[in-house]
Amino acid sequence: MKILWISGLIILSVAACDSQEKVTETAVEPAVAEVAAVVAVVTQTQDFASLMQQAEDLYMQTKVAKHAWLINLDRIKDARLAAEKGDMDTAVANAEEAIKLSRLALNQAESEKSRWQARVPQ
Amino acid sequence: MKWTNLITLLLASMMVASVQADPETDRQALRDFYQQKFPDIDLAEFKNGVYAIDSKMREQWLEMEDFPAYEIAIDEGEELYNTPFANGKSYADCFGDDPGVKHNYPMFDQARGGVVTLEVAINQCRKEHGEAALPWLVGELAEISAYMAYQSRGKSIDIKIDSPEAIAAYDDGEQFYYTRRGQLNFECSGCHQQNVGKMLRAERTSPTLGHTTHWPVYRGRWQYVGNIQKRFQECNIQVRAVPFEAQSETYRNLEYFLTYMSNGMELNGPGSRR
Repeated sequence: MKILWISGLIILSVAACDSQEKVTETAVEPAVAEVAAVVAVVTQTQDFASLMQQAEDLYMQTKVAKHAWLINLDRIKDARLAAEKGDMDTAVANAEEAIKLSRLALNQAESEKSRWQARVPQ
Repeated sequence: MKWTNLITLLLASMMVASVQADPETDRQALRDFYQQKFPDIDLAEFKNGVYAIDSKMREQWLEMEDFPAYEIAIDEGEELYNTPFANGKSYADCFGDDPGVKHNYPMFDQARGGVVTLEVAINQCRKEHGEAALPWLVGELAEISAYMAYQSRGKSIDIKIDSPEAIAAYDDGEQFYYTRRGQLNFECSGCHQQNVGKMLRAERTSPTLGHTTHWPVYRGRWQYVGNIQKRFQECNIQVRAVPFEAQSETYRNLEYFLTYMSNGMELNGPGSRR
């Protein structure tokens, strides 16, 4: 009888340990995923902040050069709006396009420094 | 100094001289350009803008001129012009007995170190007499300007560029006019010189010569009288460039250059356009 009791207890303990491990595993998996997601968002947000800073700086350079383009303003606004809505992929894409367009505008400003003279009637 | 250095210096100064043509040479070259482009049109006709080169549009415009929409603005402007300020003074204390002074504007003000357009002069007059400045582009300022333009009809544009600072302002305006900008990569002269007279959608492009003779203008699409810097802003927006502030140094210099190009031409503002 004693042996039966001891065997039953052992079986129950093993079962309990097994279920405990399963509970721990199922609890840890989403937590890790959540932390990874938060880290990704934080990284993306930091990347976005850096991109936006660059986009705004370049836009200001186009303003100073008197060659600002309307579409650059639109892209910067779109980037901000998307970020406010939490759509970081769209926000980053718009910021990157604003940077690219500002560089084109600055190229235009640079090349036009001398090219305009050829258009003056002689 | 070595001979090679001397030759280099001479060549460099010749290049600078060729780049910085004087305003009068520029003006004459522009007139020659249009005379060659439109040999059958008297250059004096260019005061009518695009209606000098498009006979069908000219007919419509002449019919519009029978009952011009800008007449109300002239009347309103006359009343505003003759209404004394709170201190008892009036615009006549700034501009003299004859309000027809538009032919002298824009002018370079040495004391202020910049170009003064008629609109700037009107607001300066107001401020000097304790009145608030008026909004630049439309409304009362455009109406006063319309009245003064009407009083200036028949006078010839007489812009003076007689100091190094004035020439610098002119050069800045000239550079702006011939510089491509905006996402569409267009310069003012692209439409108004290289492609003058061609259709851009439903509009025929107007010539540079005579561009400033008829402002302010009642435009059909505006449904009111506005001044030339409003049109500058529109042109910049049309090429997808960020426009400049009305009466900014950039636009004042542009107006200075553009008006000088029409020096000697008869004023016939205010005008009406589609």
